[in-house]
Amino acid sequence: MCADHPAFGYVDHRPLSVWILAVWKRLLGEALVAIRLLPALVGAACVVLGGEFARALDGGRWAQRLTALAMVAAPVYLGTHHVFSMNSFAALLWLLAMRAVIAALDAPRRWPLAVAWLVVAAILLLGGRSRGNYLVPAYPPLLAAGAVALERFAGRRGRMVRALPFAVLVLGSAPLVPLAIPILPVERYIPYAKALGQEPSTDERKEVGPLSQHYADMHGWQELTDLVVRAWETLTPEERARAAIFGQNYGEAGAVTVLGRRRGLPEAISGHNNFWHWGPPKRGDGSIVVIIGGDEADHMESFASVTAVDTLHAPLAMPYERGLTVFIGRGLRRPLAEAWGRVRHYD
Amino acid sequence: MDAPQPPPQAPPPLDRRGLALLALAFLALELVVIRQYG
Repeated sequence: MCADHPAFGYVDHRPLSVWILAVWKRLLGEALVAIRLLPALVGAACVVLGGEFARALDGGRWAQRLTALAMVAAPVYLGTHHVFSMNSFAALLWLLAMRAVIAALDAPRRWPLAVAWLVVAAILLLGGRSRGNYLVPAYPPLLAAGAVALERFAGRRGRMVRALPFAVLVLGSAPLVPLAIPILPVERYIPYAKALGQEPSTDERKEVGPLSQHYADMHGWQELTDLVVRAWETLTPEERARAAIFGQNYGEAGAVTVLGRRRGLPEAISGHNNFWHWGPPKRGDGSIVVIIGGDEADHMESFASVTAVDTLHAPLAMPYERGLTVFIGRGLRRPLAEAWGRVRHYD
Repeated sequence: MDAPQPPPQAPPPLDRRGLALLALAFLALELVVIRQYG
């Protein structure tokens, strides 16, 4: 959605990845396959750059291959590069930035990598609100440095010793791949993850269901869009001309906008993060609103009448998304501008 | 008189084939998923 609204900054994004996506969508369209191809290509480039980084640290073929294999085998990089997000470019930027630092030195040295990592880790710790995974993009140069150090140790030893790190990487990572990218059908994934001792989790202090949030957030959007289309089709043509669709968060509003575009739905609105800045509906007066989720009693305070259309059934979605009711609110009690000022939330 | 400086050592060659194969393996894994769910 942000790529449809180019700007110099966003509430919860830095702008670079958004600008890149805007250009990419212009070139290849907005099919999911096309959008997801870009981070996959970036991830593949990181594999090559990781190996090249080892070479810049005086690593030979063995160290270069070990670094590149570590990039392929690390589940976190597989998981980061199969969907588009601002995180898709972070490892690439770290590699390029640290490579420039190494190139500026008169000899290949590893200490700048440790210093950079320690400085950023300290900043994140002092910030107090950071997650451990913020440091994930910083590791590829360290993987290269580690591979070069291992090469110096293993280079003077036999073939078995030299093969061992490769075997450990492959055998250690292979069972974890289904946790990073959805290669298993969901009905097989759930018992598989449980057998590995992997409980569903989230980084956002939210309740989780049978799936971790990165997988749960892939469920329910089509069903939600179907439900909103059903609600929209109950409106008369005159009502549709002045109606809006309101989501409680950017996930709902974004999904209904993208998936509903070909089904005749207008762009959805929301008070969440950047959606609030994109403003109230440009068409109509907001006096008829298809409302995704929320509480009926709350909606009654804002509208003269509220009708529940149906409730979403999406058992694999995040708990706060799976049982949403879609309402139609009629007769906004406040002027639209005043109502819009009350719906903003940044989180 | 200063001792002659050794010539700077050439960096190791880049393992183009190995890195390309590993990058392709990464891309193939991602594309399997992207094709299936994209």
